[in-house]
Amino acid sequence: MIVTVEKSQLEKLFNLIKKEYEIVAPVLREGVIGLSAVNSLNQLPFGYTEVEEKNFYRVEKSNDKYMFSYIRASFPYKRFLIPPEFTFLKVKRENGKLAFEELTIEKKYAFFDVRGCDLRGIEVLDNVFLKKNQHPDSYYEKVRKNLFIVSVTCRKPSDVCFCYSMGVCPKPKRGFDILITELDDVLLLETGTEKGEKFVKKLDYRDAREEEIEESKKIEKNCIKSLKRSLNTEGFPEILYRNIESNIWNEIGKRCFACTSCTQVCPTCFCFDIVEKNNVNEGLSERVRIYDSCFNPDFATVHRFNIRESIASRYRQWYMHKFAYWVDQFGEFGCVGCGRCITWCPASIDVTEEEKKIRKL
Amino acid sequence: MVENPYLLKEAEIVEKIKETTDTYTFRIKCSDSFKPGQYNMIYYFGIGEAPISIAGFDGEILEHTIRAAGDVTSHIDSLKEGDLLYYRGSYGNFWDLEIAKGKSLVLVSGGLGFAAIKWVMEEAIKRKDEFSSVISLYGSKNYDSLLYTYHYEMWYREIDFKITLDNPDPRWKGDVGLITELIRKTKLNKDSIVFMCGPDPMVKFSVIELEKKGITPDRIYVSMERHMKCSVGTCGHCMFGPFFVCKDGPIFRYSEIREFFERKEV
Repeated sequence: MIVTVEKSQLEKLFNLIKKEYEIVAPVLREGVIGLSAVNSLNQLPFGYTEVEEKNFYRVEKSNDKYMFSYIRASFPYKRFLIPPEFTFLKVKRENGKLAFEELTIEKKYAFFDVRGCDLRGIEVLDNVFLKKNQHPDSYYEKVRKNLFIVSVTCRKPSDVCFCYSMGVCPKPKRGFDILITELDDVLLLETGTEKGEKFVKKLDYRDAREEEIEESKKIEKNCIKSLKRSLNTEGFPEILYRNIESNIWNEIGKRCFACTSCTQVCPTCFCFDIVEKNNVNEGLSERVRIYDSCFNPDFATVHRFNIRESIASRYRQWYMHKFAYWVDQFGEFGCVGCGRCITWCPASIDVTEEEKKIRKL
Repeated sequence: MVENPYLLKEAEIVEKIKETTDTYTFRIKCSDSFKPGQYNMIYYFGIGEAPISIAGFDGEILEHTIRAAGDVTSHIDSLKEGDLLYYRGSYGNFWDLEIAKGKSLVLVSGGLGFAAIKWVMEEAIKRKDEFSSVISLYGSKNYDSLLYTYHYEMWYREIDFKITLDNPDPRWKGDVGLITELIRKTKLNKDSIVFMCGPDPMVKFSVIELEKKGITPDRIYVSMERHMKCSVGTCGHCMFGPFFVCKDGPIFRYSEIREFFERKEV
């Protein structure tokens, strides 16, 4: 269904969802818009906006009248789907045998305000962990199955965004339960599922008028027009494969600190390590999944032999995974164009600039 | 509901055979299903897991040959007969003997890589009438690091089984030199099918020797070793070019991986 509601109805929608879900939403904290569990709609950073550039981030008061004048949060929702660190198995030694206790993540989240890029990021992770995996991940599945998604159309992009060139629309077409587009005077609500419809029907709504739907399309068009960056994906995997030995990787390697910032803020980076946490006295050992990064020095170590010793080779691995390997592995790119890796790279490495340089090789 | 891919199964160690000073073969009572070339993740309490290739299975007894190389394998090697071993698997693809039907099957292995070849060699012996010949070339660093010495008499009898030692030894009367020299010395048909497992440099140089004999890389299958943590294609550690060694491999047709295999730091 496509309906319109007064802007004041948003609080009612929020509270209805809150009754059934734990809501995770953007919040402004210590000068950064992040994501957090929230209790009230007031906690969302309405009236603020981000200024982002290469290695630059600042939150400012917005100079327009819209609620959703901020852009996507500084990090993606993935940490609520796969926690950065969690015990997945408890192992106990009892009478010479091992007993295993499976720990599941019992969370029923509603992500309130997922932008197009992050929605696409979740879709990419669904393929990695579930849909295109012959051994689907039971931990991811459990959280994902309970997940409720409220998406929001971006009114404007940040200067680092390049979503549209990665096939992501500022106004998402699928994957949400409810999609909110903030028009000048009202909110346009579109439902993607019955679950979403159930909530919207409890609001004070009326059918959307043709001109309101037109307005939402115009918002998207303007947003796309305002994008300052793009990454040309046309034939790019082949170009990368051809240039796997190029000196450009050494050039980037000299600048890159291998700090793992990009992999942390990336909505699709999924790599993790498995470590053991032992409590000797109780004969208890916990198996823990913890985020890892292909930039970490020992990531690709086999028998103390490090396959990717140089930072250049680690950067190449990351970049080629996003824009070449991923296509072979999952039939899509591992980048959604959110631009966070550009903002948060302390070495000011910009994946879109590198794409242009690689094309000229 | 999706089944938890990390749950471990238990099996009893019925025999522990000392192969070398740091390597043991464990014979494990087990009623699972496995294929030659696949591997299991073996767990040691409080230490972690390691991917270990399956060295044999006869329907009742599973064999794993494990060298104490890292934390996990060192601990596993401390297990005794009667102890329980915890594993999950099997994982990965397998040596497909159908490809070699009617042709000469050439098995090439180096060091502990022989453990990943042993079972398919035993299967090939059972079905040797299906191949024009079965040749197995095995390179070992020293006399004391030779694996499965108790089987040699039978293997010498059944197939063209050849061993070379990197370093000479007064107790050794056979070939001395690298595996590449043994390949050079051995008469091989152009249309042979090669199954290979060994350290990366051995593979690279063996392929060069095989190519000199007219055996093209599309006839060479290689079992690779990479850092596997999850074994189900999600932790990212074993990524090698566009491949996840854990689930797309560990066995690859060399012609399909060459462009990555022969490059540094991929």
